[in-house]
Amino acid sequence: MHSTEPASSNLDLAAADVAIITKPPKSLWRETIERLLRKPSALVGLGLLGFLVTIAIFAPFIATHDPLAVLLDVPEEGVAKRDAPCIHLLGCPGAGDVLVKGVPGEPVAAAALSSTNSLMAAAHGKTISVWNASNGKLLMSLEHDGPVTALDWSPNDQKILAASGEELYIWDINRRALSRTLEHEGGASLVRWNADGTRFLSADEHTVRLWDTLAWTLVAAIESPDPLLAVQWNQNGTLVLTASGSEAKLWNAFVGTEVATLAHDVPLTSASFNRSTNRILTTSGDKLYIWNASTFQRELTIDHVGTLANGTWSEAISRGIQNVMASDGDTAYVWRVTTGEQVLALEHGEPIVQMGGSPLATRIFTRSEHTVKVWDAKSGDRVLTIERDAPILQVTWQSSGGGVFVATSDEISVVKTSDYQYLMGIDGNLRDQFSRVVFGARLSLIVGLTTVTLAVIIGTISGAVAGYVGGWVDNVIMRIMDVMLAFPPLILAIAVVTVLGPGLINALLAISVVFIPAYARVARSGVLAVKEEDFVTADRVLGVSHARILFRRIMPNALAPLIVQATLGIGTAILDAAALSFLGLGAQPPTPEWGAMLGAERNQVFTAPHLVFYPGIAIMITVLAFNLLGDGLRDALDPRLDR
Amino acid sequence: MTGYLLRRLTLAIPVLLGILFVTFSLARLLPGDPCHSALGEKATPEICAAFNERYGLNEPIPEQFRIYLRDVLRGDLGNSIKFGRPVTELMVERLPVTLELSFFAMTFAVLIGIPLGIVSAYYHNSAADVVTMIGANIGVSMPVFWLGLMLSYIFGVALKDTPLWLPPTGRLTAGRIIEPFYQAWGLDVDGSALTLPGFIANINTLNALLVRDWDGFVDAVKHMILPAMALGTIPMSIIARMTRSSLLEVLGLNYVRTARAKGVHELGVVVRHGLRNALLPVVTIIGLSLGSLMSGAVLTETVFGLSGVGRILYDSITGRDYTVVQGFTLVIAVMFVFINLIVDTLYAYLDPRIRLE
Repeated sequence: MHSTEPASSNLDLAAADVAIITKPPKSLWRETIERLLRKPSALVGLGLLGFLVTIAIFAPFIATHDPLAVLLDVPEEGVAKRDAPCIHLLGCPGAGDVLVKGVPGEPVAAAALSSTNSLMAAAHGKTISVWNASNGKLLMSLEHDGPVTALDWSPNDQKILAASGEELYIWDINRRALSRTLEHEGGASLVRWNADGTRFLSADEHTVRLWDTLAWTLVAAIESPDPLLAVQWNQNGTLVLTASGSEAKLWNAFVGTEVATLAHDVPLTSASFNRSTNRILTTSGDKLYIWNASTFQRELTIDHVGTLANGTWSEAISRGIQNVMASDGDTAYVWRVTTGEQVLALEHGEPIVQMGGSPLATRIFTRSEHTVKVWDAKSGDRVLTIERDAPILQVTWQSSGGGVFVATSDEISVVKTSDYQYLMGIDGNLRDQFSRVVFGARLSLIVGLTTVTLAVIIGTISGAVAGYVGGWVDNVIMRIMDVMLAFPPLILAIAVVTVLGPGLINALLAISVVFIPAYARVARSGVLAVKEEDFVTADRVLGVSHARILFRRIMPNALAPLIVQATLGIGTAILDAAALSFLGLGAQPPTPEWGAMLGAERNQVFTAPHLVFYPGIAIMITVLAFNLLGDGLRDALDPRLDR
Repeated sequence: MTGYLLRRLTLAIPVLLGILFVTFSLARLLPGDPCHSALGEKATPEICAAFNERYGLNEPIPEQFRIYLRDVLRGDLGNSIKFGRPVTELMVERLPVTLELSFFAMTFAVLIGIPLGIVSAYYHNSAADVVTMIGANIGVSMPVFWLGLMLSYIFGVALKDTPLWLPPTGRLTAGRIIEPFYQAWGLDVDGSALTLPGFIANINTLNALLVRDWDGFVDAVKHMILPAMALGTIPMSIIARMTRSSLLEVLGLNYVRTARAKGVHELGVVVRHGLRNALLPVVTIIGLSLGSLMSGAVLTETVFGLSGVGRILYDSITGRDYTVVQGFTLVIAVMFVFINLIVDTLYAYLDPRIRLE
């Protein structure tokens, strides 16, 4: 292209003779880009795209977690399946925040959190109040004739067992009605269901009564001459452990006969089963003993300087951790069961009256009369201190391990113990959704770009050849394309993936195949438009090779519509890839692909909509970016459409 | 016109043959063998031999194709391997569901899309225009399945106990049965579903209208709203954008100015003079959208638990039910070809300047 009208050589500026000087036209590309940058929608598209590319490149630094990691390990215990997202600006509860609270208005005698953490109950005076443990709403009040002395939830949360006067009351929570009363002479001070809810026990200072909940009959009564200091079920409800005086005894829970006696030299201070009930821990005097719960032999003796009490377990067998702990005055000590070596010494500062290990043994709490301290079970660092004015009656871990249930004499509450927060919540496999969405950006961009590149290359070559050669070649190629276009794109893609086998790469190929005809058509019409131009004829006369004419002379002139089509096609390709993954034919779990994430949780949309919402929004933003950019490009390349 | 139609129909023949060939070979290419997927992994070789004999699967491939062609031309699409019923019978059962869904989706798209496009073009560059176009851009960028899930959550769960609640799955409330119109009318139709009456009776809304079961009609329509919205949003956005750009072009033309000068009131200018001429490209877009509706139908039917064509195609492709895959893709592809033909013809009819030669 010539840039200037040559001025005549005898130019006389004084004369009215006019020299026409045109500005050198900018190159087509520069002009296009400038026009593109004047369109606000294209700018938005470019901005979004830049944002997505940044996220994709820096995904490992932006993501807070490994996208494939299951978040149950240290220190993220307390993660629950399909946890709702927590957006920091809107205020997330952190460690030490009270999640839910119940204030009965009378002194509390006993309290319990249900095993699924969904309900909590407190006995005060003659009443048991039940709260919803997720929103703190008071659900019901169960009235008794006398003051309630003990209560416990059945393992399925359906029933409350309460002791009041000489009676045991079993309340049906669904019907909010009393379902049965049984008699415990002398009044029980402790009631406990076994792990499967088929039996329960009630105990006063010297007697333990065992009950069957199928026939609602008394199975056996166990008498103990010395005051009982511990009564506990084993896991499957076949044995009961009692400790009194200097003996810990195991009883057959079906007939009430003694199975074994674990004799000690000095009076016991505590006794407890571990969670899988294959071991028993006892403390007496300055010694801590570990017993085998089937052979009743002593397996380990730990000597300590000072008097031990409050012995309990901190174990997570699945993670290979089995520790025991016991307190000596103001300090709690933790030992490893396998070696007997002392691991931690936790300085509580006040006399410890209760301790507990979290379900996955990542945390430990110690409690004195007015203070609860939560410790990291690995490093021994103090995580949290909870102070209460009223004396604390009881502390238990939530079964999810994310908080502790604290009952004082004037209120019951659940306090969060972990500070970890998840921007987009937790998915059904306990993975951090935010990290997965971030890593998904990589996959979607790669899928969009590669499918379209592949389709453009094949489609352009076949379309260009068809247009350039013409005749029967044109006819054959374009009829094949017509046949392909006659199938709904997704159906064809599904069929191709089924032939090739499910997987991300195959889905990618399938989508490329489906897109080929569109590019072939565009390329062909572009070639047809310039095929008869003079410069092509000139080349042909000069004997330039066909390939060179086609790809060096003709194609550059037919490129503009292809670019537009390709940009818009990336959006469609991403949508189709997501659809295939949604149907389970694309990316396979656990790949963090947005469509697959959405497909995996689609049945949970009614209960955990955030797991569907965020991946979908991510897909939408990506597709929107390419669509806006494609529209902008089309307008920029064809000024006639610019409006 | 007749000559053009004849030529187009002739040109469609190689495409139709190609479609037949593709469906036939796709079904043969599917990995896994139909005997074991239909009868289970424990089918013995003898049982499989009998099975292959029965379904003609032990003939050489070209022979199979010849038999297939012959049967298709006779209107026999074979028996489903999985359901053990004729494919045509399944079609009578499934096609109405998808047709009904597509009809509602297209109605939604046209009824919302065109007015939005008009408003957007008439108030060009106003806030309404910008908002509409942003909305339309977002609309084409949304995954159908995601929109469907979100709609069913919003209207099925979040708006529960409000008058806006809509059923999130199914075609009718569980337990509701609309009497087939041929029974209500006392027509003597045999029990098989292989009939046109059976086909019509399976279109719930139409059937409810025919038997004047108003409660049933409302129920059927209510169940169709969310799927139709999910499926219709992309066409709606495309139609809105197309209407806008096409109307913008037309409104700048001289005859519109003339109409204004003549004193035609604004509504008349926009609708009678502008829209009528601007609708041509919109009609093309509507025709093309009908095709992409089938893709969306697979996803919409999956999300909303409707047993339509999309769903059965997906199930039979993944379950290697050869005959069903062949039959349904064939019918869909043929419908495609004819819809395109109809759109082209309609185009000429609407714009007298175009002559079909």
